[in-house]
Amino acid sequence: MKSIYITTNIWIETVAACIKRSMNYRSNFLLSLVDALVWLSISLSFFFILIDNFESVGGYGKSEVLILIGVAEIIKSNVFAFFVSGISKIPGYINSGELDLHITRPINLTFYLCTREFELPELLSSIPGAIMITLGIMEIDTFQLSGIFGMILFVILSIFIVVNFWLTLISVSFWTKNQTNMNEVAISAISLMKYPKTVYNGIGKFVLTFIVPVSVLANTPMEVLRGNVLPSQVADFIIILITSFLLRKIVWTLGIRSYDSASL
Amino acid sequence: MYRNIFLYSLNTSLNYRLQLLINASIGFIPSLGVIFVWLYIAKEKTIPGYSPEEIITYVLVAKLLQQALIPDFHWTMIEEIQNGDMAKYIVRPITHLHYWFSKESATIIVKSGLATVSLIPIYAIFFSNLVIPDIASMAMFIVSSSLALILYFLIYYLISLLGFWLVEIYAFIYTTDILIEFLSGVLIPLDLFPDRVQSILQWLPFHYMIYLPINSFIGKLNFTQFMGGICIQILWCITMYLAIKVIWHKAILKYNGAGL
Repeated sequence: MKSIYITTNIWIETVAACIKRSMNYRSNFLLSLVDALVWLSISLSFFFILIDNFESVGGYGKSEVLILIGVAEIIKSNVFAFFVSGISKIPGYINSGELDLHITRPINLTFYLCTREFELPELLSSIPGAIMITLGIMEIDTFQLSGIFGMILFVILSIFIVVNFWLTLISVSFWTKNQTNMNEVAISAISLMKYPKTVYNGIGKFVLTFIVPVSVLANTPMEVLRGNVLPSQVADFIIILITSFLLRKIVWTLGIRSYDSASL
Repeated sequence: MYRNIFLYSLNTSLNYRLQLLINASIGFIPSLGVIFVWLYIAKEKTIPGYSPEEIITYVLVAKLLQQALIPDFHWTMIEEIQNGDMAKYIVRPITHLHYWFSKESATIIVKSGLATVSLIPIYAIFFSNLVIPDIASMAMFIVSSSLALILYFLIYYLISLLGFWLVEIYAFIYTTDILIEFLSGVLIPLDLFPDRVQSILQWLPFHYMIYLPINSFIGKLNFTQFMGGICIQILWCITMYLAIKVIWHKAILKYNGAGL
């Protein structure tokens, strides 16, 4: 209990310091927001042009696409705000031996490394995501208020899946000492979550559902919000969540055990 | 002198070809979603103006071409502007633009070679679903891609010059990357855009960076349309070059060599 209290206090202080630092660079702050809005506009334009030409994309009309991209944006913005800056530096710590310093701290190592940095501009791009979800909800008939709470729960679980997946990839650095490629692979893979899962088929569907589970990250919360989710989809999601957690734990633990301290 | 720069850069790029291939492969991952969407649409719907084989070829080759042509030099150039290293180019008897073009074109040639090699397994897997260009189409594709290479370089060079005035330019570069990707037709063929947007885009340089070469590749252009596109490509290259000359002159007057 005491360790949770200490960890929480440290995290709050870290976030406060990062927010103060962000506010020193206001132009970068604003440019990040503009960047996020442009990304969203292009994603929406891509789907809307397709829907104008073909009526739907994988059975998804404009309202479904609005919700899907909105959910994807909320997941992405939270991952990038709370975890990306911290996680992306781990290969550097491993390569330089700086991980020694962090291992010796009296705090949960994984939590500490993942949450060392907080990017406020990234979190603010959740706002356009929420607006898009609201606009999408206004056009669907099957919406229920309980769907919002279900969606929020599944969004939080999706964030955990992303973090577990990312950490598993990063852990490869314990053996390869590669600094940047795994971060790029993770960021590239996450960008796939905004596509309707119905467009995937064959081996691509299997890989993108169970091995690199990007197709369920935004699609499942969206289906929960719409009230269309099947029990089998929830079961798949839970299996993926548990598997990603266990896989991350195993690979990370093996990595730490194989870590060559710089002081030896 | 620029020939030597080109040859040196070519040699360096060939030494790091595996890294180039890895970077290109990673850059291809976000396109998987787009490719799966188009494969789905090609199977389920009728695409106006494109057969299923043409659209699948379009999407695959467009992404490969973009990966080959998109330059990387602008990150180094912006860093040099902001930390004061630009001074070394000013005192040397070389033109900064020509120096970077010589250096970057070697890298792009290696990337293009890797992209061409990547097409072999793609054609092997999707053979019956892809368009095989004839000699005329391939020749038109090579000519239009070569001009697209120059246009890509000039546009990114022009954007990089903003580093003389803007400190935080990196977010702007990322935004530009995705805008160019969208407006050049990498994600969606430009003739599927709304009519008003198409009429605007055909006068912008983005139309001639990916859309023109790819339509040459899949044989959708006759010779007159191709030559019209080439003329506009050349006009845009000249326009960008002149704009660079003007902005470079103003930038150098502002530059103090101490870094920002």
